[in-house]
Order: sequence, then structure tokens, then C-alpha cells
Amino acid sequence: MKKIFRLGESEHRCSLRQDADGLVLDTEDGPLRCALQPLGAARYCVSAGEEQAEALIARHDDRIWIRLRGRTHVIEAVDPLDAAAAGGHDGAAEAPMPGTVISVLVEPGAEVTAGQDLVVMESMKLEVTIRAPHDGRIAAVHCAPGDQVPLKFTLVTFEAAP
Amino acid sequence: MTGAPIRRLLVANRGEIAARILRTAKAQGIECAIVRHAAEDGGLAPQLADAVVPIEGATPVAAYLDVAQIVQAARRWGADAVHPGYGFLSESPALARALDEAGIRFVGPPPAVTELMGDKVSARRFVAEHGFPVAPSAIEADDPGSFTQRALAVGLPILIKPAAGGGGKGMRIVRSAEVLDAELAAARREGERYFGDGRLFVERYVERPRHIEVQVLGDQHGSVVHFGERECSVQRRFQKIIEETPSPALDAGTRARICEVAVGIARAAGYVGAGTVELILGADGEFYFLEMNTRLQVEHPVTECVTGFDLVAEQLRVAAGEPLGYSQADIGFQGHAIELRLCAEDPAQGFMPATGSLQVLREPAGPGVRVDSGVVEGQRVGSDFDSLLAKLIFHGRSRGQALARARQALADTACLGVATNLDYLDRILAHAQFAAGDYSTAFLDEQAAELGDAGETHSTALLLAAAALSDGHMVAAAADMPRLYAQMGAWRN
Repeated sequence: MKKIFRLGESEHRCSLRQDADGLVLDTEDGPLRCALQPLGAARYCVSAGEEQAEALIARHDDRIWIRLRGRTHVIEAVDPLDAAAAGGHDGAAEAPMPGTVISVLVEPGAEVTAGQDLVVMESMKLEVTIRAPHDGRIAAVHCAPGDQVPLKFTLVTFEAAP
Repeated sequence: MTGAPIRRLLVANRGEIAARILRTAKAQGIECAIVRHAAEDGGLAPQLADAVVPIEGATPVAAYLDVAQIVQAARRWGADAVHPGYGFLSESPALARALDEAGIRFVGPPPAVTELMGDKVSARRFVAEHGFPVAPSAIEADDPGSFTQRALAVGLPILIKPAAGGGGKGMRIVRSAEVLDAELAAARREGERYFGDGRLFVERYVERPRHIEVQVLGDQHGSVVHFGERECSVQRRFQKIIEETPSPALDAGTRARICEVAVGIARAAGYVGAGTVELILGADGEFYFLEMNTRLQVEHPVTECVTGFDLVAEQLRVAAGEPLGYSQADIGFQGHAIELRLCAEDPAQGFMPATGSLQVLREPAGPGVRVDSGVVEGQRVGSDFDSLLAKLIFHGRSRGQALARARQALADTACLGVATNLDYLDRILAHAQFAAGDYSTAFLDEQAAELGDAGETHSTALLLAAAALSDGHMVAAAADMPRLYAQMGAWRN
């Protein structure tokens, strides 16, 4: 089973297999013999090749949170098929944070220029204005004042460029 | 006059400050209740309270801002006093008055003082009239028609502030005249939403200032003392994330003058209870009055560490009508304390608030370590409230020892399942300028590149192994895979 792990800016294609001696992670840099031993209360002993360390690990859906060597890491696991299917997000303005829509400043059909204010959102008492990523005509507005929206929710879509 | 002791206290707040107040009040044998909106999902404070009084609102925040409902909750539960914490109604003269009419004590200053200091414009005027230093300014209400011109006449750069503001909300620095109108409009919108008041004023912005504040306490009998200063210059979005005392910027002479000014302002205002005088200190050593916060401050624990006083206990004593019973000379200062605010926010995304679930929470412990937390492991962190999760406070005989304890403690801390500023806080502590105590309120912006997460890790192999092996599907698929096929290598099909 293959997975793509997104770690910061980098992507790592990995797959896992078992041989007579245990589990092997095939990475783009070669195979790694690895093991994960639970120590209780979210603590694990993780080993990869010659390296070994204790870590705290928590998973939520496709996100893996790892506290290792005094640093916090978030890894996003992506199915390679999903990654191929997902199109670019050009032509849309997304919520940069989960929160509440305060006001919507554009209507479908409106011509906007890059940087123009589209939607005002609020989360944890912080107001953020979502601006047009590029010039274009608004195709649809997917939110209304008072709406609670999750992170990366598509707020406004643009018509495809002619 | 000494009033009756407080026996039943309603805490009209949430999160870490509610928990902190409950701990002191309960230790004094006071029975305690807390108000709670249904959106408050879990959390530590309701577990510590003897009773929970539900409140409702159009939004969760609105419930905590509803004076009538808080008074009703206090009445229904039979409270003889209400502690408002910070934020919400803590600086509301309306709550203090309504409680007074209901025969319930408000743990805070009299409404006249809250009113005077709550309006930033009248507070500045009051302070200036009493001969204390304030920065050059223009006030919209003086003549709204000429406000823009007068704002520019103050001299750029200027800082826009809501007249009814506080906590950095609606504040904007303007460095060029072209953006002034747009920034004024945005500040007005925020002022209206957060404070129900869109009036503004502008102040000359002091470049590379330090934010210094002084803790004061007054009783109902005319005594006012100070508990020294706090240095609060490490800020993002005008909000503090690290505070320490004593300030590395002050020499003994300036410290004495600043504390004297703060006590003078509090005394002139007839201050009662715990309060904080905030000041701006310029690079030239000059300082100006900024505002007075008529409540307990988020960062009060550093003061408690170095003075040994429990400020919540002092607030409750003052509210009960007791005299302070000590003088300025009785307040000593020992060592150095630093507070770090652990917040659910992503420094890599411009400190955007983050939501999630606190799947793993490990708080630090050890000598000189204090944790004022409002959360418990497993709790959901939503977008309804402020992003502050917990305060990590470190005390040492010296600044160096407090810092060393902080760095070790951060290494022992973990917060998984929601993005936090934990690693960012550690990078600040590790920064040479912070370690040297040489920083201003511009520090985080100026050092953004160095403080950013380089994203490099020497642990990639371990991280990938942990990610793959904690994936039940991947492990199960690997175990099920026919051995021969597996030996071909999974990428060769």
C-alpha cells in the first residue's frame, strides 16, 4: 500500500512491506527497516534504519502529529490516487482559517481585480480579509454572513478565464 | 468598614483564568460556581467548580457578555460575589452596577473608575491633567470632521486605537497617508464589533518601543501599592505572548519612577482592587501612559512568582472590604519570572487561530515551573473563543535560571492534535536577542525570518516510519501482502 507523506514543503512517496525479519518502509531514498513499539499513553519507541528515538504520536484522519526530539511535526498522509484526482485550486478563494463569515463583499458576476476584498472572516476574535488571488469574474459565492466554515473551505469561485 | 467575607463566588469567565481563580477561591473555603455556554466543550474550569450555571447566547461569546444573564446566574445560584476574570465583562461598569443593585459584590474596582479608564480618551485626558506623561495624539470625538487631518498632523507613523478598546483589538500602525482612510474604516469596524463603539483616536507611534506595565492594588480605605513592573514587549498582532519581570530594560532609577507614576495614577483615580498601568518606554528612556486595565491581567502570575503574593486572594480580600494590611516596604521581590502563552495558533500561517482536538497534552513540571492551564487532554479546541490554551510560568533566582528552566520545560511539553505556538516559543527563547534581554515590541516582526520554522529536520526517516507504522491500513496491508510479491518491492508493479 502506497502513501504520500507531506512533511512541511516536501513530499515523500512511501510503501510498507513485511519480510521475514519484520517491516520495511520503501522510500525514495531506499528501504528502511523500521519498527514502532508502544510504550503507553501515546508514547512510542520508533526506529528507522540505524536510528531510534522515543516519540509522542497522535493521529486524526490523515494527519499524524509527532513530537520528536523536542519538536512538533505534522505529517499529512495522502492516497496517491486522491492526489492525482485533486485539481489545482486556481480560480477560488479559500478560508485561511476555520471561523465565522462576517461579511461578503462581492456578488456572482462581479468583476474583481487581484487583491480586492472578497470576504471578511473572524476566528477567535481575529478579523481577516480574504482578497482576490487574481483578476476575474466571480462565478459563485458559497458563503453568507454568519456561516461557520472549516479551514480551506471554498468561499468564492471564479469563472474560468476565457 | 469591613464587609462580610465572601462565601459563594460565581466566576463569570472560562478557560485558564477561570481555573486559576477557582483554585485560590476554593483554597480559602469559598464555594464556587462557574457560568458555561454549551459551546465550551470540556475544559478544566468546570471540573474544578462546585457548580456550573448554564448561560446562552446568539454566539458563545455573546453569552459571556450578557450582563443581565450573568446577574441572573449569580442570583439564581445565591452568589454573594462575582469574579469577572479578564476580558468579557471584567471592565464593564454595567456589570458592576447591576450586581451592586442586586446586592452582590463585584470583584473589581468601582464602576466610576472602570468607566474613567475604560474610555481610552478620557483616561488619557485624566492622566495628562494630573501631570503624568502621555504621547501626542488626536481624538476623533473632539471634531470628527477634521479627524483625518489632525491624525496626520500628529506626525507619521501613527497608531490608530478604538476609544473603547483594549487587548490590541482594532489597533493599526499607519506609516503612509494613502492607507489612512482604509485603516481607519477597518479599525472602526473592529471597534464596533468588539466594544460596541466605533470611535477612534490616534497616537504618535513610538518606534521600537518597549511595553512596560505596573501591577497596582488598592483597598477600599485609600491604600495603594505596586507590585513592580512586567515587561511585555514580545507581541504579535499587538498581543503579548511572553512576559517577564523584572524588565531587562529598566535601571533602578527608571523602575522607581515608572512604579511611582503608576501608583500616582491609581491613587488619583481612587483605584480599588487589582489593576495594571500600561506604559510605553522609548529607546531614549522616556515613557508614556498607554492605558490602565482595571482587572486582573493575563500575565499576573510572573508578579506572583517574584513577590510571593496571590493576587486573586488579594482581590477577594479587597472585595470583602479588608484593608491591605501591609505597606509598599513590605512587598519584596525575589528572582526572575517568565511567562509563555501557549496558544492554538499557527505561527507559520501568520498566527492564524487553529482548531482541532487536544489528542495529546503533556504539561511541564519541576522546580520553578507553574502551569496555569484551562484545557485537558482530549478536549476539542473550537473557534468560538480566544486561542490561549495555557500559560507556562518559570521562576528562577536569576533571569538565566528562569530561562534555562523554561527551555528544559518546553522540551518536556507536548500538544498534539491542534497547531500551537509551542515550537515557536522555544525559538524565541533560543534567540540571542531575547536571551540578552534586548528586544522591543517590533522584535517578532524584525526577526520573523530567523524565528520562522526552517522546516529542516534531521529526523525524516524516523518521522516517515512513525507515520507509516501508526497507519493501521498500511500495516495491515503489509502484513497481508503475499511474501513473494512483497519481496519484489512495492514500487515495481
